[in-house]
Amino acid sequence: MSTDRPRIGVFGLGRGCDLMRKVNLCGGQLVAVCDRIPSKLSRAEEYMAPGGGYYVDFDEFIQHDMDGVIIANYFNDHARFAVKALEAGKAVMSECTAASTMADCVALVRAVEKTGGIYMLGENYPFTASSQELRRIYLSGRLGKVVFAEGEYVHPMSSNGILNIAPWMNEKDRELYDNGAAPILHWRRWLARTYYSTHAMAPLMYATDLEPRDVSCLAACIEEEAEKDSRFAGDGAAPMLVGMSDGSVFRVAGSCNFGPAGTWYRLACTKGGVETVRGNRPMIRMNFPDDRPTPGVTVTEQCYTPDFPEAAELAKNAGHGGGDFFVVYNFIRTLRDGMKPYFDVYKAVALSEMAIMGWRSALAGGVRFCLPDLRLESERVKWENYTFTPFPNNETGEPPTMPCCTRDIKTNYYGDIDPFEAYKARVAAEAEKAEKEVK
Amino acid sequence: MLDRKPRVGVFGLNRGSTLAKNGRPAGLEFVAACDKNPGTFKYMKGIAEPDAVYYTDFDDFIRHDMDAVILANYFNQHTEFAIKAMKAGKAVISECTPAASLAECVALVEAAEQTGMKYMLAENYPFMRGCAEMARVYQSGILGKVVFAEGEYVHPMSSGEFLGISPGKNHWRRHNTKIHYITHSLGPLLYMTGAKPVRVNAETVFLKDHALELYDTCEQRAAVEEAGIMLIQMDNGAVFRISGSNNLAPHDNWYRLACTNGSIETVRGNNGRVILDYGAWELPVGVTESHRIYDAQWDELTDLAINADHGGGDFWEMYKFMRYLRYDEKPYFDVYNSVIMSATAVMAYKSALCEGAPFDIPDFRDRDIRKLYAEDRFTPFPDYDTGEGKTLPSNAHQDLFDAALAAREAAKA
Repeated sequence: MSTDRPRIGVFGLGRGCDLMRKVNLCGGQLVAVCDRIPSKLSRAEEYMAPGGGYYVDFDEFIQHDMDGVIIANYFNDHARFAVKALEAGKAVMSECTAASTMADCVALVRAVEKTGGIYMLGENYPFTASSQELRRIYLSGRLGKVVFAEGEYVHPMSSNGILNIAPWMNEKDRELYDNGAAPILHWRRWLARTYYSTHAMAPLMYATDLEPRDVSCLAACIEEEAEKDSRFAGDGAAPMLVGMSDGSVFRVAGSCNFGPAGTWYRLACTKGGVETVRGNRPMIRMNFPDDRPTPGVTVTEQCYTPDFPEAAELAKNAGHGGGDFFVVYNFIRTLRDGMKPYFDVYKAVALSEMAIMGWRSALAGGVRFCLPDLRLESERVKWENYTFTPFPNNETGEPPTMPCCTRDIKTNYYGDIDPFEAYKARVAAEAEKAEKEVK
Repeated sequence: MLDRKPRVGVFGLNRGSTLAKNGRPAGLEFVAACDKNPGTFKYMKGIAEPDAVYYTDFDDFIRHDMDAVILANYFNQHTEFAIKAMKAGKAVISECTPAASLAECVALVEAAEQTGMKYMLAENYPFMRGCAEMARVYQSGILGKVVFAEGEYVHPMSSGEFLGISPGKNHWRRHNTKIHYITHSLGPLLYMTGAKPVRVNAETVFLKDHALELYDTCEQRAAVEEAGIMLIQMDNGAVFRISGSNNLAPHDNWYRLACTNGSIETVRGNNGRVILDYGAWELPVGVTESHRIYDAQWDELTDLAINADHGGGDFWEMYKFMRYLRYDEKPYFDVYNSVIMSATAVMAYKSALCEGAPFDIPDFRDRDIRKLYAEDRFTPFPDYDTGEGKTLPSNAHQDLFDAALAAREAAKA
C-alpha cells in the first residue's frame, strides 16, 4: 500500500484521542472515528478531514473508505476488532494488549496471514528517547551480550485515580451507558498484574532484538491491602522471570501497584551495563567494569540525556515521552512507505502470550511455562480454543473464566509429584544410557 | 553476661584476619588462630594478643581456652566446624554460607539447640550505611508494607582475579553456582523487613561462547554460567527478586524496597546513598518532598565503622557478635534466620535444575520438617581436600555445556 497521506480511522475516543491528535501531524489524515458513546465523537471535530465519518457502530465504521484504523477501545478487547478490520481490508494499529486470551492470539495471527493485511502493535514505550538510545548502544556491540535485563511499568493509583479512569461510582459516566452495570466490567478493575506488561517488556525486546520463550511468575498479594482495594485485582505486583530466545533472563513487571510511579529499563551484559536512571527516565547510565577494560572506553561510568535519533522536534512534546508520536508516525510510514513495523503480529502476540502464561504461572504457584511459537500452525491448533481470561465480557457481562487475583489461591501445580525426584530420575537414565553406549 | 572482653579464636586466616581486624575495635580479643597453612599466621600480627596461640589443626585449636570462634574457612565447609565448635562449648560466628546442603542445615540447627551455644551468621551487607538506613526507614512503618523487593550482589571478575582467589581444582569458587552465594542479596532484605522466604523459583543464564571462554581461561572451572535469578515468595505475601554472585557488569550491590506507600532503595552505583520516594497521594504528615536522595549514615559508632571493610559491615557484624556474647543481645541472623538463606539457595538451585519448578523452602524451626531433609546432601561443592561430596553439577544447564564441549571436540577431531 502506498498513498501520500494515508486515511486513518480511530476506534475508541478515550485513549484514542491522544493518538488521533498525532495522525495529521505525522502525515496521515483523520477520516473517521467511532465510539459507542455518542458524546465522545465531537472530540474529533478539530482534527477531522472534510467529509469525515462519525460512527457509534464498529461494523459501519469499518466500511468507511480508509486505509488503516487505530484500535484504541478497551484494553482486553482489541483482537476481535482487529480481526474484523483486517477482514474489511484495513491495516491495523492496535493499542495494547494485542490479545487477552491464547485463542485470540491464534485468531489474530491467522487473520493477518489470511488477509495479508498490515498489523502493528501501538506499543509506545520503546520509542522514548532513552529507550531508543538503549537499542542504539546495545546493537553497537560495545556491551557484549545481554545476560540479565529488567523492565518495569509501575503505575500505582489513588482510589480517586482508579475511579476516574475505571468508571464505577462516577454517576456522570454511568449515565452514558445504556446498562448501568457496564462500568463494573471495566478492565482496570479486573487487570491481573501480568497482563499490562507490554510497557515493561517491549522496550527490552526492541533494544536487544530478542523474543520471550518461557515465563514464570510469583504474584505479591498483601492480603489486607487487597481487602481495601476497590479493584477485584488486588495483587500489588506480579514480577515475571522470562527466558529469552538467546538464553538470557529478563525480569519484567507490568502495572505494579506500589510507589512511586515510573518505568525503568536495564540491560546487564557481559562487558558492561546500560540503563535508564531510576527516577529520571530520560537519562541513561552506562557502565563498564574497571577490571576488564573495553577498547576505546576511557571512563567506567557515564550519565547523559539522549535525544531522539529523528523527528525530535515533533516527538518531544508528544505524550508518553514521545512514544505516542512514534507509534503513529511508524504506522503512517508503514502505510505510506512500506516500512515493516517492528512490533508485527508475531511480536505483538508474543507479548500477550507472556502476560497470559505469566498469569497462569502465578495461579499455579510459579511454574515455568513455555510460550508457544504461534508462527507455527501446529502450535496454533493446540491453543485455538484456550479462552481462559481474568476479564469479564465487556458486552455480555459474562464472568471471567479465571481469577484476576491470587488471594486465596494456594495452588500447587505439581501435586504429589516432586520435580527434583523427576530430575534425578532423568539424570540417572541419561547416565545409564551413556554407560550403555560406552559399552 | 561477660564482664570482660570476649576471648575469640579465628579459623581460616585469609578472610578471618580481616574480620579479626574489624573485631578489635568492636571489643573482641583474639587469643588463638588456626589455619592449615602456617604461612597465613603473619596476617594476625598486630591484631591478635601477643600471647595468642597458633594452630594448624582445628581439633587442637577448638580446645583452646576461649569464649567463641570466628569461622572463616572455605565457603562451603562451615557447618562441620560450627558443630564441632558448639560441641566444644564455644560460641560461633560463621562466615557465609552457613550450610551447603539441606542435611547440613538440619545438623546445624540441631547442634545449636542441643548444645545451647550461641550461633550467629557473619553476614555483613545488611549493616552497610545504605542498608542500615533502609532498615531504619522501613521499620518506622512510614512506607507501609513491602510488596516487591530486589537485592543483588554482582561480582564479575577477570580471569586473572578469579584464579588468584580460587586456588586448586576443588576450590569452592570454581564450583560455585550462580545461585548459592545469596546471603549478600537476600540477607539485607530479610534484615530490613523481617519477612521469611516460603517459596522460590529460579533460572540461570548460560551463554555458550562465554561459558567456553571462562572454561578455557580459568583452568577448566566447573561453574561457567553467567547469572542466577530468583523470585521468592515471602511469608507476608511479598515477592523478592534476588540474584546470586552474578557474573555480569558492572560490579555492584543494590537493594530496593517497593512498598504500599512509597519506596526506598540504594542509589545504583553508590550504595552509601539512598532514594526515598512516596506516592504523591501518600505523603506522610509533615513530609513535603515526595522524592529525596541523601547520604545515609549510621545512628552511632560512625567513627569506628566508617573505615571498616565492606562498607562498615565487617565492623558491625563483629560489634553485634560482641554484644551477643557480652550482653545476650540476640542477633537477627541466629541459626534459624541463617539456615533459611542456605535452604533458599539450595531450593532455588533445585528449581533451576528442574526448569524453574517452584520449590517450597523448609523452615527448620519445625522438627517434622527436619526429618524430611536430614539426609538431603545434594550439593555442587566438593570437599577441598578430598574432592568428594559433589553430587550436583555446577551449572543448571550442564547438559548444554557438555554438548558445547563435545561439539568443540568433535570439530577439532
